[in-house]
Amino acid sequence: MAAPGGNKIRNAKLVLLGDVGTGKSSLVLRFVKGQFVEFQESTIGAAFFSQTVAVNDETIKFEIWDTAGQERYHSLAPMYYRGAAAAVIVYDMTNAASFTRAKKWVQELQAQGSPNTIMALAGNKADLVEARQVSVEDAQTYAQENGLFFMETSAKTAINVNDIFYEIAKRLTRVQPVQNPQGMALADKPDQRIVNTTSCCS
Amino acid sequence: MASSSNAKHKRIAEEEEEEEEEEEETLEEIEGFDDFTLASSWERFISEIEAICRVWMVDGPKNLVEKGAECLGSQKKLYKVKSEMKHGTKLYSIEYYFCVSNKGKASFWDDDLHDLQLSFGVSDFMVIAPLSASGVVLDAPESTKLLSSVAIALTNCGSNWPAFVPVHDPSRKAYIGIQNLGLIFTRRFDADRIGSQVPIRLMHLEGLYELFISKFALYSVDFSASFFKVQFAMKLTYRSPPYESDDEINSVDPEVNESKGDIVSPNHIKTQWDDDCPWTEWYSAEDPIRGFELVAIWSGRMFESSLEMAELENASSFDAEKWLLCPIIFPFMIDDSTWMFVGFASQIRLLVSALDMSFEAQFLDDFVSVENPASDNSKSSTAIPPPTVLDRVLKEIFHDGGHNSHLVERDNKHSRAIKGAPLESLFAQFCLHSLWFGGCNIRAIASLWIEFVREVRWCWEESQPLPKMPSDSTIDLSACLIHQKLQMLAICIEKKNLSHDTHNSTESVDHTPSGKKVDAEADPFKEPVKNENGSYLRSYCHQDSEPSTSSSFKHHDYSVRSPDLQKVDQVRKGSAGVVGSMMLLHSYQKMHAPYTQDAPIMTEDMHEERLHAVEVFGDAFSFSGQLERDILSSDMSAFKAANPDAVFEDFIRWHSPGDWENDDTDGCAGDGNNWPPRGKLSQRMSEHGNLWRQIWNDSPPLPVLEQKSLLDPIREGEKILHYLETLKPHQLLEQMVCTAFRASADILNQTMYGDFKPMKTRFNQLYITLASTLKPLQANHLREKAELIGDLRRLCLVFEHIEKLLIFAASIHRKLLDVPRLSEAMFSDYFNFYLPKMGTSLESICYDQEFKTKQLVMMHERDAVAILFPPPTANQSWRKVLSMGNLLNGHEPILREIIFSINDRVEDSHYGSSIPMATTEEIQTHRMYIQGTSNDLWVALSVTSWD
Repeated sequence: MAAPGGNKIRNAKLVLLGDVGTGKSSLVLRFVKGQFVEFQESTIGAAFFSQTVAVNDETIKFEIWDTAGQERYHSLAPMYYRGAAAAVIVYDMTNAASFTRAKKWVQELQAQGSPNTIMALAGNKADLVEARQVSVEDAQTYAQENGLFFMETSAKTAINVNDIFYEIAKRLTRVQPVQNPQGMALADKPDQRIVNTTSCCS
Repeated sequence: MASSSNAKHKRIAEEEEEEEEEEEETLEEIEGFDDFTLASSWERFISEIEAICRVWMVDGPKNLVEKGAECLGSQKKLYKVKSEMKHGTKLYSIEYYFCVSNKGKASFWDDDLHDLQLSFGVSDFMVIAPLSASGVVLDAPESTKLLSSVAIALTNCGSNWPAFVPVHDPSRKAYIGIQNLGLIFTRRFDADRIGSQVPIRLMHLEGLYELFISKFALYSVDFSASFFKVQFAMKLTYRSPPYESDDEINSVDPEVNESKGDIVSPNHIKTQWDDDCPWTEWYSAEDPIRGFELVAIWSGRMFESSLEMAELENASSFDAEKWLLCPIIFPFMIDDSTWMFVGFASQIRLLVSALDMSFEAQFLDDFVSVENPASDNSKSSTAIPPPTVLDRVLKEIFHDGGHNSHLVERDNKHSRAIKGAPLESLFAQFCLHSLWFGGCNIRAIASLWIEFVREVRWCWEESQPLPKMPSDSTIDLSACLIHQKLQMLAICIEKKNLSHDTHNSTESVDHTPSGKKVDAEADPFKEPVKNENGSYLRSYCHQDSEPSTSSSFKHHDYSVRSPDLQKVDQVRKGSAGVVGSMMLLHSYQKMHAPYTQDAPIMTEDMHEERLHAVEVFGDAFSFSGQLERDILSSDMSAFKAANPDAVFEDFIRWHSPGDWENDDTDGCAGDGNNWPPRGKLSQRMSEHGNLWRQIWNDSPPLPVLEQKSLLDPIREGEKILHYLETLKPHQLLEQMVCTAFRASADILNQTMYGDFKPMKTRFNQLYITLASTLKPLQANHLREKAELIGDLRRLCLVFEHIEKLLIFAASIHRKLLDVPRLSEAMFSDYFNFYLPKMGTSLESICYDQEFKTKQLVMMHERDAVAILFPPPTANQSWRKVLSMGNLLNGHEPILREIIFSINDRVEDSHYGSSIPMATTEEIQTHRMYIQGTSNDLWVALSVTSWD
């Protein structure tokens, strides 16, 4: 467990999930390197990156797992989202099917993932406004219903890319790990449970 | 002396009660003048009492409560303040009882009433008694004197509190008392008890009625002829017979046996009440409910003759206005000192102690071997059960299948959050058996584990499927590591077997050229076939993949270039069927989905190792997992084998359809007319040097059967056994603790208890608490050990509370099955009563307070409640002499309480005008409270007179 408080660095596992070609790798690349490649090679399996974000007096070090969108790798996904502190579910706002797929991922995370995982929904390719197929309202409504936070992003123009990661970091710091679950207090409310940041088992 | 204290009290009073000051002052000035020059000791005594009373009066109930008056009763209505004083050589205590929230007159039968309130129909009152061992006044003149003193003192204060003095022998609970009612009336109280040989006449209502009449109708000798309107109320208490089988005259009170402690009463002759409860497989719980008390109340009747009373005695208790029911609860529920609760909680506590000890050694064998000094340290309770027991338990773990399998496990998502093993799994069964194996000490556990692993190895070497471990499942990463390992071992065993089988038997099945008959590939008999590599041949199909029986297929049959007729120059291998109606790009053939290898299964430690490796080595920007690359390569080979004419684009269309861009808008590849399909690879896939294409080029066409398996079952299996055999003691114990908690909670959760809401909520909270507290157990970073063990012990205590409450809930639920409302209400009452006990401290709190909250029984529920009182058998009934009436199913009440009263109208003109009470009201002139069984009788009488 990451040591709480102070100027300590907290590690946070973050996983990106979504359909093929929604721009998961591009988002990460933009966030980590500030780069954009028009035709980012399709990820085979998964790729790992890390990047730190400073929030107030805390530093969050994201350990980012960028997964492949192909259905074939679906069965490997639990390995990546297991114990993740945050998950970014990406869809392509010019592709309605990818939004449907994103909803499936949310369902799976809700059922299988750790309840503490912070989930973000990213509608990527926001620069292609004329090709929009998924309306902001639909995505926003869905996000609210499922307790996600939602942003439309564009890896190409960098709109909201840093913001979405920063927002996750902010939420991670907000939920301070409880010092000690000593409190055998049965009055434990589910929402007061400890957020375990790193490699803790789910 | 008295005056100074008086003045002092006055000062306090003034400070505190600013508003009442004026009024009080005048009162004091008029009535509080005392002349002590001539005072005798008796007079001084009186003024002392007076002083105390004045303080109490001035303070008023509210301030007294704030000043720390003692609260009596559970409903926090009655309070008591106390003072002491001296008269002559004797010390006296003077107590003032008062009600705070007296909204009007409480009902006669309020449970919270003090004896004296009930007996004499008073609300606030005083008791003055000597401070002696017996606490009563034995001497008649003394008692009279005492009472007079109080009466005078109270009159001086202008108070109309009734005052009582206990007299005679304490066992008689006898009192005399007096109350001033204004200037004219005085009420006198008298109570006494007959402890034995109650006259027959007084056992019956008729006789009691006549007793009451005799107290005022002195002028009339013939009671039966006289005509009085007597008010009557009656409360009968019945107690249900103990739950014993009828024929066993096992009159040994269970209480006698209850001190047996840790032995779980198998010798009790009575049939176990919890026979069909889920925990009985592991232990038998004492029934927390010993019986029920039913209170039947007749209230507010008017009687005019003793004949009517006699009639009433024969009335059925069903005629009573009110029924109240209260369970009689076995003291072990709250009293830990007399009864050590044995259940999952107690056993897990032992397991936690074992965990505490497990850190002492490196290997489990150390605990079993005799030479080890660690095991000598604590000789007691470290015995290893004899080999016969060990064998039996092992047999139960491994071979006693079938049981409970019908039970649908309530898939509680909270349960999954606890990192243990599912209830029915092999490891969970191991843990549950360990709990009851040889007192659950570390040595016993170690010896059982060693045998357990030996048995698992035997299964592995003999290629026997692991019992209670379904091998077709994927690995549940939320379970504990041992369970994951066993899951994986079960899969390895199966794959090992398959590779044997297929090598020995037909190899031809999958080698049939699928060009012959396409449908056959999708036939059910082919679906579950596993290949000789040992991996499941799962047809990895797309959503749109389907057996090709559609009309479009027929269309192709007629076509000259039908794929069925066209002989492919290369042999198609490892096809799992066509993919919808997708056609290959470069040849007019249907696309076939290949069988692909399962993604290799991994336990969480393997995952972690892998991710760690990627984290360490993978800073190269485009690093991709080798594993996924292997899978991709394997898929490509299989695809090539199944579609000999396919090109890279075909593979992408099947494998990553998002990277194929159709050219035409209507251009679903489904229509055979549009061959060849028009479209192109996505930009990123068609880039030069694309990694996918490189892998494609490097992959040879090979059906999965001929590929190297992604998983080597022999190697993995051996690794797992190595893990099990070299497991560190504390690692085993940690996982056992988690699994034992989870499995026990799951077992208890199967209990039918009517889903009482507080219970359900608590149970879910228990799961959450378990999950969060157990979380650090299997993480790599162990906290301070002592702290951890302390937490676990606290957790056991919490578990015990819930376990007990659940057993209670189950018991009350099944006893009152037909009246769910009542059982739930009673459970809630008890739950609230129990709640304060569920503190967080390790020490157990004892409270002597008895649970006696009663629940009103609705009219329609009475029949169901009456079942609790089965008619006594002939055997039982002849033993009893029934002497009171009002039988309930042949049971006579254990207690009968009666209140008689008679009112008289006060006439204004007759008594003058300065009477403080409302003059038009009727006042109660005589009141008699009678409480009796067939053996004793207690009578309290209050008489109002105007003398």
